[in-house]
Amino acid sequence: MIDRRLNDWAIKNKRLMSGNILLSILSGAIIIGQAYVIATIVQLAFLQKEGLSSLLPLFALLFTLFLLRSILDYAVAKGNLRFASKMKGIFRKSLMEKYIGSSVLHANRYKTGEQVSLYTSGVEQLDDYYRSYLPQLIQSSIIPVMILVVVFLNNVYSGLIMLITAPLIPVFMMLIGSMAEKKTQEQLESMLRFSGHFLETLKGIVTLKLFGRSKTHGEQVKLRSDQFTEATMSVLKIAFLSALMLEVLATISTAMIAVEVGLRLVYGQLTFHTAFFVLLLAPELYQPLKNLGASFHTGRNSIAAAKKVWEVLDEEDRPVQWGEKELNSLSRVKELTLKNVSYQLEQQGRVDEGNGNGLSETAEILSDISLQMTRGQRVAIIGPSGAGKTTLLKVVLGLLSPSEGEILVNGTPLPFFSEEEWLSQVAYVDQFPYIFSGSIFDNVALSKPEASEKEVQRACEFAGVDLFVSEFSNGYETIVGEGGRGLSGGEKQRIALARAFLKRAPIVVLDEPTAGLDLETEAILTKSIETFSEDGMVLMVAHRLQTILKADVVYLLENGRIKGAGSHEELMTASPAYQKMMSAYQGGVSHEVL
Amino acid sequence: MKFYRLLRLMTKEKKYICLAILFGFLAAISSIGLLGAGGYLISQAALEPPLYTLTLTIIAVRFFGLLRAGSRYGERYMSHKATFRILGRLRAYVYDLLEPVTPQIFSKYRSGDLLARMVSDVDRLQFFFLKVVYPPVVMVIVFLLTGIFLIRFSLLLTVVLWLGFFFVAIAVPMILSMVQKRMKPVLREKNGALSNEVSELFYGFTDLKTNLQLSKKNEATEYESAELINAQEREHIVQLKGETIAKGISFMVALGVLFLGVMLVNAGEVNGVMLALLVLVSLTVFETATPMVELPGHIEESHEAERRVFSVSDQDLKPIVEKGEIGVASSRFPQSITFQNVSFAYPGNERSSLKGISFRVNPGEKVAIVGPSGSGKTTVLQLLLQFYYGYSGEINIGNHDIKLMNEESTRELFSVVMQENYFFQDTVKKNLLLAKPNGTEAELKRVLEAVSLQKLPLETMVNGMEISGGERQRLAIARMLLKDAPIVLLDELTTGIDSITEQEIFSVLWPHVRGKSVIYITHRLRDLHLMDKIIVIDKGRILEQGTYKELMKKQHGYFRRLKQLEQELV
Repeated sequence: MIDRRLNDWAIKNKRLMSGNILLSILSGAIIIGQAYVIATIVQLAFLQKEGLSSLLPLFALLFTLFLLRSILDYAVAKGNLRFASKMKGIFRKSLMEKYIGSSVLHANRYKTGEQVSLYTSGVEQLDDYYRSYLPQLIQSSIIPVMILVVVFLNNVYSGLIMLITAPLIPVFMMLIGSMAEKKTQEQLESMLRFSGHFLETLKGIVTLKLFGRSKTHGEQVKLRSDQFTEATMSVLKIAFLSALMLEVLATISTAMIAVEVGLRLVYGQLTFHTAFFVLLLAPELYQPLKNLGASFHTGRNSIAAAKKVWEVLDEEDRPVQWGEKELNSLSRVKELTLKNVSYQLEQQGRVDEGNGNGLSETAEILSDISLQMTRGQRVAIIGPSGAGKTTLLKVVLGLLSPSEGEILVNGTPLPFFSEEEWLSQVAYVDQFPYIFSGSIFDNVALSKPEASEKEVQRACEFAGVDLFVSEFSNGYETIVGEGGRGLSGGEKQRIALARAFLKRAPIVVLDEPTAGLDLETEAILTKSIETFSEDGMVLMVAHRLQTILKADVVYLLENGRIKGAGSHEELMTASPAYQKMMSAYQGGVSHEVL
Repeated sequence: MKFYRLLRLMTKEKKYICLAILFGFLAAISSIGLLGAGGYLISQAALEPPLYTLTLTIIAVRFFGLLRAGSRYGERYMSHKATFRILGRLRAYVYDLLEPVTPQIFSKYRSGDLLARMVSDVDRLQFFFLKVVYPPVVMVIVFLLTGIFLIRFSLLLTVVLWLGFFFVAIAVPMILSMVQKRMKPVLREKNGALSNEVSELFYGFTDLKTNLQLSKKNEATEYESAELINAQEREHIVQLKGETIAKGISFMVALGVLFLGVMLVNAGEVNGVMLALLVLVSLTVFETATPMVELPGHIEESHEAERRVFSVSDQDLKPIVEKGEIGVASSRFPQSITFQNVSFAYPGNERSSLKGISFRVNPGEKVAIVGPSGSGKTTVLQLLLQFYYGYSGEINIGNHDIKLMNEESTRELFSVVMQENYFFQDTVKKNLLLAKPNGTEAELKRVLEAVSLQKLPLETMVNGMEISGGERQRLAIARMLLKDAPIVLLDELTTGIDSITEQEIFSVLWPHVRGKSVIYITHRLRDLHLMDKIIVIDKGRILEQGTYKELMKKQHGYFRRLKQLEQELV
């Protein structure tokens, strides 16, 4: 049970591998030497009745061997530790490069939690592979063999007992691996599920309270847990039984060896020295094998974690292309054109893993989109959910790379410019802006960290951030939690608008929130769109009739295709699809008495 | 006292704990016995005596071999059983701990975070017995007995053994724990810092990238990662040093025993036959002691988990006013609800969520509370359900101040359907019976029919993929119908549901609430003409109240403008 790619990393590090192998050989030699010296001392003192003084050199030798073994163990363990640390850093770095450089993070926002945990605890689990599992694996494939050889040279019969039983241990382990262990694994998984169930119960306390059943439910928790214990134990019994076989094998063979050498001693076929030497070595033979069995679990975890890491690193991707050109050669963006732009995810398969409904955004595609906007224009995109509206915005922002077609800025293809230059020309107002943990001031200043206090304040006044900041005793220095805990949806939106205002970018890309905003924020949003388009261009996904009416051009998007373009009036006369959409929502409310 | 509560919980599983310790002890002592007897056997044999004199020793060797295998099995079985049973108790205990403070506690922590943390802490604590309590107990017994056994030969041997034991099992772990105590908080802090940075980077990715702050954040993340890795490495190295020293000491003890043994044999105080036995015993006995180096780490971890779990109950979340015991006798009849000048801020929040709210819901009246997200609508409902205390003003049901009413019996007055209704991972039937434990099958079927879910078999598992969002809400309504309480509270029950499904849900809902009082909380303004009264709130204040017609007549009314905006939504 190994992971080839994890091993490749280790093998590349020659010093580490040779260190581990050398250590194993040396430890093996020291273990054998130790046993030999101990056997000699005991034999001399016991049978030859040697005095303590003549044995002193042997004691000194034994001491040296003990010391050597300790130092050696420490040195190599430390080397492994260092290597594991280094590898963690490397894995994190490659993961991050992959995430940042690719469209993964945009395309699949619903997997963010998983990505965070892979980066942190997932990589952490790889640590064990290098720190303990791999060295253990090396040791257990070298030391037992050495001991076996030495025992054979001394006493063939003991060697035979060992030869028969020792390989049986890994065989048994594999057997456990395929049979009982599988069951144990299932059981462990169901244990995890069970702790998931416990979580569910805790989440359900409110509901239980509402039905007046919460006080007595603690009993139920205990009851269910106990039932589960019984079920688990009946399965574990089998797993333990196989472990028992292993144990029996190791101890019985030790006992067999003891009796065997004992009897042969009686018949004078063996010296005491050899017999004792072999007996001392017997437990040392089984120890590394047993250790390996114990660390199987760790190894399995690491390999599972590694698998997930490889999955991410191997994911095919189409990174956005960027060039060197500086935009100031154009001074200001006057014109933005999309020519036959299509967007498609490289791998369709992995997108739809039962995330439920409402997540269809992840599978959005765009086909053959052409649109044009000039300075001072407001362009609105409308369409049903899942039509590809947000994806289109992200393609324009340069966050996603079109699979076909091109984006032209003042006539020059976007990939000629440097990424930094382009991103400094655009401001993006998300439907769900992210609020970072820190002060309100810092959150607004995100778009321009070098901005003066006055500038930030002006942006906040513009976006109505000042209106709610005044409610806090710490004002702009009020710390908001990660994700903006304690702020309402409208307030987060205002912070995003203040960011965009502060940035003063010629292109503003805006994803209009659908519902739930307060009237004050609604008014601020409308005013902002006007201000942004005075001097620049605004591209927005629109949900409000007012916004649509005020747009210079409206694009109707359906299933990733443009189904109509023009002003509201033009579309109302020319596009049946547009008419249908407009009347659909009118119909949606008409049943109510107005 | 450290672990006081945990240990008290454990004492309830005495039987399995004692058995596990017994078997653990047998396993350890028999593996010492096996090698000791083996050593004795060959020493005896070396003197080439008649074979029959060896029989007893041979039997002993075999006996110890079998005993060890068998008792290892018993040890595994019993210790797992004890662990699982403790886990069950722990869970029930944690449940009882959380029950009285839910949901007040969620204003302090995000509910998902808190609960997930509780669960993983409990998972960690389940090993408290296996890793913290059990090994030292077994080890102490083994060393005591081995030491006593050695007194037979010489007190000096016992002293060397116990001295070694003291260093390996007590001194080294204690020093280690002292060093690590200073490192752990740093480690925790660095761990938190990294996961904060990386969460912010991933969740705020788009905002960071479009504002050109991504590389800065990436650097910060990489820095935190390196810091954490360094801190971990330092900790591991300390651990490694401890392990190396402990192992070295155990070698030295073996050496010392051998040295003393030779000396005693020379002096004729000990028979040479015993020498091999002594060496093997002293080598094997430390097998149980070297894992002690890991003990401080486990103790620290368990202690931390315990502290977090039990801190929930140590918090001051109890009602400030002594709760009254007024029951609600006539609970079948709707009663009036009045809020008088109610203000409230969630614990730990600077801003008030409600600022002097006053309104009245007459028996049988249907009232909608509308407003944008974050306006304080849901807070009204939470106070009414007595999920939070510490508000100012007065809330009355009928003639009673709810502060003076018995919490449980007040809740009997309400049926609640929320945006997210909780269902247990169980059958439809079990989830419905929650609302009416003695409900008959026919009754349940009737209720399902009432919400147009007659096609849903009672044995279907809820939370399975086949139940849609709309069906879940209708199932919640079914539960509401079964409870048949006089006051119905509806909180954003169609948020996140498309308008066609929304229509379906309302068409099954409204006919069933005739004659009941209804408080309907929503930011969507649909079906509001069916209400007797609409209360509009924003920023914790009531802006307007009146009938649908009255509010729509107000030229610049807040409600009218909200309604207009909503109609213009595409």
